[in-house]
Amino acid sequence: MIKVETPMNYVWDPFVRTFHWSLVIAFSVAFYTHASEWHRLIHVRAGYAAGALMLARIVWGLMKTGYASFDSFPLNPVRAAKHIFYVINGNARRYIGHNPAGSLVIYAMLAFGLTAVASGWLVYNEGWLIDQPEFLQALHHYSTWGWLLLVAMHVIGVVTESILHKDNLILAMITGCKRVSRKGEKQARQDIA
Amino acid sequence: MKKLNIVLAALLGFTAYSAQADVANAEKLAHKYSVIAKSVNPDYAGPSAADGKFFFNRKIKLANGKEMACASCHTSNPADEGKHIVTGKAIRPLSPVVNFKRFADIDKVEEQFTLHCNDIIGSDCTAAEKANYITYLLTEKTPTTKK
Repeated sequence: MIKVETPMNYVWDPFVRTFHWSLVIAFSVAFYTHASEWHRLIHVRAGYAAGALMLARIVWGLMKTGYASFDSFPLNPVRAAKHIFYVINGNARRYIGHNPAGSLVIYAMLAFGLTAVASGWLVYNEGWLIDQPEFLQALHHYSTWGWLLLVAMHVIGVVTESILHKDNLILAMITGCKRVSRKGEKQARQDIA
Repeated sequence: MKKLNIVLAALLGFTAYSAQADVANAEKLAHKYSVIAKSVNPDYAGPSAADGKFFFNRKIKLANGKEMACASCHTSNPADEGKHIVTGKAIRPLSPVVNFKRFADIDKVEEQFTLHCNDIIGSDCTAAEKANYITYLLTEKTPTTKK
């Protein structure tokens, strides 16, 4: 479990930070190279890298890794909707790790990302396992654009929360540290308990 | 058993229908492009399979110095299975006569035209080139190699 005795300003461990920015690079490379046949191999390798990164992240999330653990940000769409409502009303509380709305987007990104990679893998190896090229291409297309939409939501969420809590969450994903208010810390203890 | 027969008959009927439909789709698209080509250039005499064949095999010098043609990946016979020169993966035959899944979705064909023309020529192909190309594909009906 998370040690709550010490002030919790160290949030994102090195694995999570490396994973996050590697995934950003892998996704960007795959996206930039998606249209040209000349870049097909680069596209495929970037996609596989993204898939491997996400699988590693899932393993990491299943372990007791503090804020990186799935236990610390449960999937709860009702709480996510409530959180958005509170944000709009201006009385949203602060979460140290992912807030419920952010968590929902994280799980959706993992689901869409893995679907995109799996379908891309099958499109690339056409005729193998599932011989439905049209279906697989459509799945690859929509899961990837859905993934991109979720990335946009993620970025909007990060910017919104950074402004709301006067913190730099992008920097936090580089240094691993977040500014922690006393109030947030107390609530974080209640979350974990 | 009777039920199975009906299902099989329906399936056969459907495949036969779609096989015809996609050759018809290809002809429709060739016609569309030739109409556009004529409005662009009144001297355009209509789609020519011979011009399409020349276009298909014509080697184009790329910015990186390589010489490429449609045939580089798709072989000189569009009824044959091709091989991607970058990935080495097999490509199913282009000719809708052999591969009835080709031209099933016209939007996709137009999208692929643009992408492939951009990859090789560096810009989209003309309507005349596209009309000739499809007309040529429709003339290639027999694979040369059996795999």
